[in-house]
Amino acid sequence: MKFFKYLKETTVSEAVIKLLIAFAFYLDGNVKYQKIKDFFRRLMNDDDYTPKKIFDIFMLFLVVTSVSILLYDIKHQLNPWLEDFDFYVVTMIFAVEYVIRLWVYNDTHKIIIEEYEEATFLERRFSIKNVIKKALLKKWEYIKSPFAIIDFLAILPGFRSLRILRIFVIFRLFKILRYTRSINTFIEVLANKKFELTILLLAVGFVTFIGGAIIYVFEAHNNPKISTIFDAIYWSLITISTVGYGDITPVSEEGKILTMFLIIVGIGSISFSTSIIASAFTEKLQELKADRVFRIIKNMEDVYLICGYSNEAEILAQRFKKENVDFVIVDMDEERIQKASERGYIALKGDITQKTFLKVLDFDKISKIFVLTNNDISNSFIVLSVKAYSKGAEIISLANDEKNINKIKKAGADYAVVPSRVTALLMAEYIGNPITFEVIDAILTEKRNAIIDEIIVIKDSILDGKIVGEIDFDKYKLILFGVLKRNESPLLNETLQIEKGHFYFNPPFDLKLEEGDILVVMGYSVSVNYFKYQIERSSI
Amino acid sequence: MKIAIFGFDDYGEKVASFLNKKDLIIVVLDEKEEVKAREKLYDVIKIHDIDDDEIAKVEEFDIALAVLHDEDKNLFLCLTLRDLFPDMKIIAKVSDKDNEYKYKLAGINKLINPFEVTANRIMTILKKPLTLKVIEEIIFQDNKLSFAEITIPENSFLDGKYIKDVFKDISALYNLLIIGIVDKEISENVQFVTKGFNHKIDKGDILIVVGDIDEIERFKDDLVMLSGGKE
Repeated sequence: MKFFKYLKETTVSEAVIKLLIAFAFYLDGNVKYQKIKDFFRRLMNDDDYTPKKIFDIFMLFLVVTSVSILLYDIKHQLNPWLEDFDFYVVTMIFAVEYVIRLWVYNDTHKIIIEEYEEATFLERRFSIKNVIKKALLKKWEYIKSPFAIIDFLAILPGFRSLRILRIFVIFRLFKILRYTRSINTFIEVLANKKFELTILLLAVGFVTFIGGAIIYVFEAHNNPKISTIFDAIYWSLITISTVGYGDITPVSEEGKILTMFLIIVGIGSISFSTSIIASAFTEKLQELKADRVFRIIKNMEDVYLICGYSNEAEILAQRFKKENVDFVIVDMDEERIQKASERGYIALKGDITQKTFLKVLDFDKISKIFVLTNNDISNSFIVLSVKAYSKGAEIISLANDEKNINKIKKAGADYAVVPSRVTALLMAEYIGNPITFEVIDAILTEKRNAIIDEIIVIKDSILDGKIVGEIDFDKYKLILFGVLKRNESPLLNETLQIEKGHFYFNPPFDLKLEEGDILVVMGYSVSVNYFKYQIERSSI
Repeated sequence: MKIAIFGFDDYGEKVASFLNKKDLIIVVLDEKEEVKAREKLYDVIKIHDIDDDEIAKVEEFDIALAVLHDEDKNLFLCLTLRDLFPDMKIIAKVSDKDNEYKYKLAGINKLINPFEVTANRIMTILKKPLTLKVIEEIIFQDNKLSFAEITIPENSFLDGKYIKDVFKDISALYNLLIIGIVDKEISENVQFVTKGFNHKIDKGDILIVVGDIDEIERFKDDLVMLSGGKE
């Protein structure tokens, strides 16, 4: 009989446990549940999530209205409708928010799964006591965090029957901290100077107490305003803070001397605390700036990263600015960063080769990286560092010495440019053929709107499957310079061997175009753009 | 055509390497550069100072290339050269954008700013890698394609013709493209053919063409041989 009872008990509890584990696994595998939870998690905690920004503004609005209602209520008769609004809407929303925050803080079902896996692994019994303990501890961890306490206390004033709870209206104000970032930064800055501020506070507290004690000793008997030690300390604090209401004033000689002393200490400590806070902000400024840049990058679509603000970078940045390309400059040198900032560029001081720095950069958004310092050693080092983190971004680097091209390319750069070489080439070309030089210069820099451009043959467009002779380039005011074909054409001798394919200069009219071929055409940008537009339109 | 290169640092050395050795005179102020240039078997002249007497040591030359390492000296050199040879072609390297106008005031024919050139190069790599490759191959590599400037001789078969009428035939017959023209009737500057203006070709005009070197030569020969443009 006894045995039977035992068996029955175990099966019941075992069934509950099994159900619990099954439910935990069900939640773990349920995509929809995960998605919903993730949405709420981001809504509550992810500063870069747009719905959170809207949510924050909404909550701020609620806080402000509810506080106004509660304050108005203190001395006036409240419209019952408003009272209901405060209780049923605002307080309820706060309560729901509190529950959601508690819910998204951690995944309880993971604790169950963990325990289950551990139990199976060690071949011991599944301990439901353990699970409950762990789950509660984890939630308790959240409940006792300062923000959670504020949230909880902010719900209380909604219960208006208990008048004493109204004092908690200030916690509704504290809730504002949750929804604004700048105040948090301020608190963070102060927290950084915790040590200095504590020392200062202790010192001021000590002097205040001593001052209060002394005045109590000297004047407790002959000054009718100072009857208790509390009065004495109150006077001391009012004096030391240089507020000096004047409701209590010293009457004895000794008291006056003490007052003078306290005022001098007061001025000193106030200026000291101001300077501590000010210096904390300057220290934090660099970090805040970097933080801002990282956030800006996150909000951009496509960013170019320029490492090293050299002379070349300066001109390149001007070009990018002109073309409305987003870019970020990183340099180790304070002066160069200053120079870049003065021009209105987003510039960041830091060592790009440092892991900590690379980790916070959002490489998803960076499509091109330019490594432009005037030192090949740092160039190759930077290329190596960013290559590991960049997600397929194109890397273009300077090679200040021709000998280093291969090293920099081996490090991972897609292109290496040698400034002295390209300049020398241009000079030599200018000496030999000055008119051709002008033509090439105009084409490469797009100075006179004359450009050479590359047009890809899109599938099913007016170009696909046509032969060159069928296209009236003259009508478009274009010259067909050549065609880059992916597949070698057996009929023709290719003119140039290029990595990506076979280039045919001035192709005969019967060359057939196929999808993926690239036409190199010459013309004015208007003509080229119009031609491109026609092709893209025809492919749809 | 004799070219005098003033300065033999990185830039001077590279420019020299792209030009024909026998046309060059290397002029140096620096002893180290002198040694380096002599090792590479260039004609080297060492001057001690930038003044009229010293520069007179350099023999006849048609083009001066000022690529001294020191920007101040380079500018002073340009001034001196312009003073001595008012009509000579002077090409100078400028390292600081703020100094460009000073060189222009000094009367330099062509200024080249290495930083700008590099930045341009990077821009082209970004936007048109294929174009860059094609142009570089054409200009700088040893292959059969080349740019050329062709002056129209008197009484050639093109004299008096309109560019649009002959463009297609020339491109098919000689496998070359006419991309620009210096139409002396209009201006001394290059006009791109694609601008749409139908230029009339006259003697003395210059055609900018791209094509096979042999074909260009054949075209040039034919221009002289086959006369009878003007009826």
